[in-house]
Amino acid sequence: MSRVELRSVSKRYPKADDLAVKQISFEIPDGELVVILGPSGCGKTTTLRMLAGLEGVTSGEILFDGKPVQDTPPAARNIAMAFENYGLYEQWDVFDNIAYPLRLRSVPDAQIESSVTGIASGLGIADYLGQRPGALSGGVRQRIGLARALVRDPSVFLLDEPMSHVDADGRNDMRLEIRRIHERTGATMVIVTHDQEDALMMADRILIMNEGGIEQYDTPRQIYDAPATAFVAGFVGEPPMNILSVSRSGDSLDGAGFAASIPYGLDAALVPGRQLVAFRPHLTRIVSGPAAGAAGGLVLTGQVYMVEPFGERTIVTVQVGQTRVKVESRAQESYDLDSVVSLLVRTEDLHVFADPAGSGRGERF
Amino acid sequence: MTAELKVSELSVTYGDVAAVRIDELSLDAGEFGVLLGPSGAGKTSSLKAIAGLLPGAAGAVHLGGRDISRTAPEERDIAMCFESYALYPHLTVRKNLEFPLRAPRRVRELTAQERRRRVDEVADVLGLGQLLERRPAQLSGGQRQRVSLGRALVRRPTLLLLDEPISHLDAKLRNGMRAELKRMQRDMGVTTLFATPDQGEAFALGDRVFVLDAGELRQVGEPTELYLRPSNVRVAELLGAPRINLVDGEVRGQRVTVLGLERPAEGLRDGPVLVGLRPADLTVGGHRELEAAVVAVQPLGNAAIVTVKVSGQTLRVLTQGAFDEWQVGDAVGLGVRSGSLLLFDPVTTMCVKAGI
Amino acid sequence: MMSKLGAWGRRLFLLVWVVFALLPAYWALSTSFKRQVDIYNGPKMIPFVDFTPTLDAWQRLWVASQSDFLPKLLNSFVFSAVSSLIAVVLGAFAAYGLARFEYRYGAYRNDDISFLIVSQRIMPPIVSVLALYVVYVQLRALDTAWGMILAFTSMNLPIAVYLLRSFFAAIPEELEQAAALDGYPAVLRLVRVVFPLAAPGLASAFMLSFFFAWNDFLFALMLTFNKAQTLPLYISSLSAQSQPEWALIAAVGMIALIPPVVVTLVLDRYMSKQVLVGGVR
Repeated sequence: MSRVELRSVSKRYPKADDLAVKQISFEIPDGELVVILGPSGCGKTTTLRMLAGLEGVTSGEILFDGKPVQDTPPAARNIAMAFENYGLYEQWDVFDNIAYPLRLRSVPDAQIESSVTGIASGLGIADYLGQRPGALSGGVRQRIGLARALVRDPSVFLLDEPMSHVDADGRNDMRLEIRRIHERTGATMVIVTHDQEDALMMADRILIMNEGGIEQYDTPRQIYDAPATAFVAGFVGEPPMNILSVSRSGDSLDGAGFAASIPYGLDAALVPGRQLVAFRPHLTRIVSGPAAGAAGGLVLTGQVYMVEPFGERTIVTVQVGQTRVKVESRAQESYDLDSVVSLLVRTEDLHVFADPAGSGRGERF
Repeated sequence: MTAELKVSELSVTYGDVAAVRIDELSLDAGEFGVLLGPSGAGKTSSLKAIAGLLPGAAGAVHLGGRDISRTAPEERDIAMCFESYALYPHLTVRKNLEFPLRAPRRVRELTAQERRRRVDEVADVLGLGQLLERRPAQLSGGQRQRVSLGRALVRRPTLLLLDEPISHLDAKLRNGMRAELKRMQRDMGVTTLFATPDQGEAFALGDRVFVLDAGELRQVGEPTELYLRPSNVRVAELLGAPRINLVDGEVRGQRVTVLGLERPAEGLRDGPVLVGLRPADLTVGGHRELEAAVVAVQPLGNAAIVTVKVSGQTLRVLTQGAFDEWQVGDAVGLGVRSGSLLLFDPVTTMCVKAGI
Repeated sequence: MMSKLGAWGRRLFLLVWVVFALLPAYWALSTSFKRQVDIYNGPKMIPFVDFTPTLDAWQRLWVASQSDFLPKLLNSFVFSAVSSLIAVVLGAFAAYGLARFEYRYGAYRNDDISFLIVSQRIMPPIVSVLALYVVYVQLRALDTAWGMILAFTSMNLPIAVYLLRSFFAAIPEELEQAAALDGYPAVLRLVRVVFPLAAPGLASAFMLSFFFAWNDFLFALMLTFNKAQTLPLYISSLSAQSQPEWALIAAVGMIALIPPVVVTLVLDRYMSKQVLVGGVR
């Protein structure tokens, strides 16, 4: 069990112009499960590898239980790591692969037997224990790597995209299992993923990274309900938050091709000039027809652009001026394309972010 | 030029194992079809067989009325986007995109200038303009995927086969590319078959979904149709997330009993029955018909997946809104939305009744 | 251990090793500038200090070149280069077949055929060359260019096939499938996609074949007597006297180094390890 702390840690790769990780600082209390979430290239894997000791730290300190470890080799840090690309020993069967770390530490055979079979059944791979990894599917191989990391009793578990090759159903079960293992061992765990559902479901706290820096570090509830930046707002949640670039003029909010009256109660949060107003698709309601504004929220008018049924939910895209707003509902709804509708979002469900760049947040992937 | 696809009696065997057996698969000209199936179902084999890349495949493939079953893949005018991208590593992006246009049968169709213009056009649409002189090794996953797509589109094929082209991109990128794909396909009007294991993608993309499982087609139809009226258990399992709950029930006297609930079941004979309950059709909390115990709570932001135990069976529920108030071990009321039960014959796995 | 030596320790170690490795070559080079008397009077390594350098041997070589030396040099080069080319080309097609298709001749599958081919090299050359001699007598192939080229090709073909098979197997089949769909018939796929990606393998196979042929003494000894003689034989003839002219031999040896080095330098640009990166996920 370890408390993990990073102080002003930076990483520059040789011959790179930019820092891959820019002076980040955060602390993980002993026994917490933290998920580092972010898009490709944000520095999350680099951070994990620095925690493991597989990458050197360009500057800053990493401390386990108050002791600096940034110069300690990986083997001496008492960590266990599961890699996205498995790193399995092909010449041994699955049981031996998982047992290896225990054998290295001279754990008695009976205990090895129970630990390995226990972990294997928890992750759904007990049937494969006698086989070689070579012939098994990607999802199974990934789980073997995970089992091998989890079977020990290290200070810190580090998992790098541990479920990226597992299909949707298996993912849900594995998230539950990782949580269970966490609760059972009480170990400090750091998990890297780009899948925000993984983060929301597993984390005690989520560390959101973007372009080498930390956007927000908070509980899943807070990150979802109170995103600190427009990036976090747009990154967490599927479908992503609707983010409108507006400028305040007098009593109305002007956006690209639309205008809306300022809802009562939002006044205090607004600044003069440009800003971003954001709200979640599932908290947006469609009220048919060009209705007059209700006092309790933001009202936008637009035309139905697309209706996408998804089984459990329906996502309606409404063209408001030059922006497209998505509305999510659990009912099986249908609207005529191009019909005029009004959208209502309650004031308490609105978020306002400063827009320093002066232009809307266009996301080009 | 776009054409309709008609595949009949397609079979792919590896050694003695029959990997795929599809009786019929048809797409109208310009239609976006989705081949949905879990890993190992035979999606890649099916696509490769249609493309003529598998010598061990048998069956008839008609494109635009022409029988191409015995035509070499070079001549079929089919383009395929491989799951592994299959970019030529020794060529620049530009040369990769140009490669199909320089093939012997096509090289005389266009002048060098026209080729260049075509490549620039495609690169523009896919946002590859800055990357044309790079090699695949210098590209990110998303960029490689776009090059792979560009190479397929640059020659305006009659049929476009996409094998999980966006499965390996990160979540945000994937959603963006999905929308782009749909738009491009609509603009180009090319008949497309898209293979994926992700049911969400099937909903988002498909005009028509072909559900493939263990090498066979289980059902064909619009995604919502397959969701609401699956013809068998497998289709019910493969569409909808989280996965549908399947519990044992009993029909007696034209009524079905499951978990202590009773619903009318007209026209059914007495006997055991498998009941499908979608997590989204279950509700927890408050005063409801059934009493359940909370086993696990997995928060999702705007909802939560709550695993409950009721009458000895474990069920997953997709709640509306967050589920903060309940803890593991709590007793909660469990409700089942009326009209949401799906009944399946436990032996044939066929759906015998829906909507009760 | 290396880290304990420190940076300067490492450099010293490498320097010593380089000196050790290049010493024979240096020795030969310096010998080629020595007078006979200096050679017999003990190891003298440093010019102008230990001994007086002279261009004697080189002048002798120049004089002897037209009639003796150059034809043999040319023979060596032509035989080695042509046989290597043939071995690599034929070997490439065979290796591609073994890598991609499934053969079955009775109980013989791909691996068996591969082994059959490679096993030709397990047999000691002295055994095969005697048999070859007998056959060549009948065919009147002794002391002919085509006879030598054929012999070298047969010696090198197994190596080429063995080496190239794994290179071809490493190229993902989906690249060829993509090329097929892009409209390229089989041979063009090989030429435009497979061979460029197998370039390191092709270059290695060529170099290896060239070196084996270039350095061969036995085949040349047995299968030639006059016009088709190669460089190693020339060197050997120089030393088969009671008072061999070591300086001359050293000079010839230095010249003999040059073509293999040139071949390596020319082919070096194809020896990239990274050719396949980026092709498939």
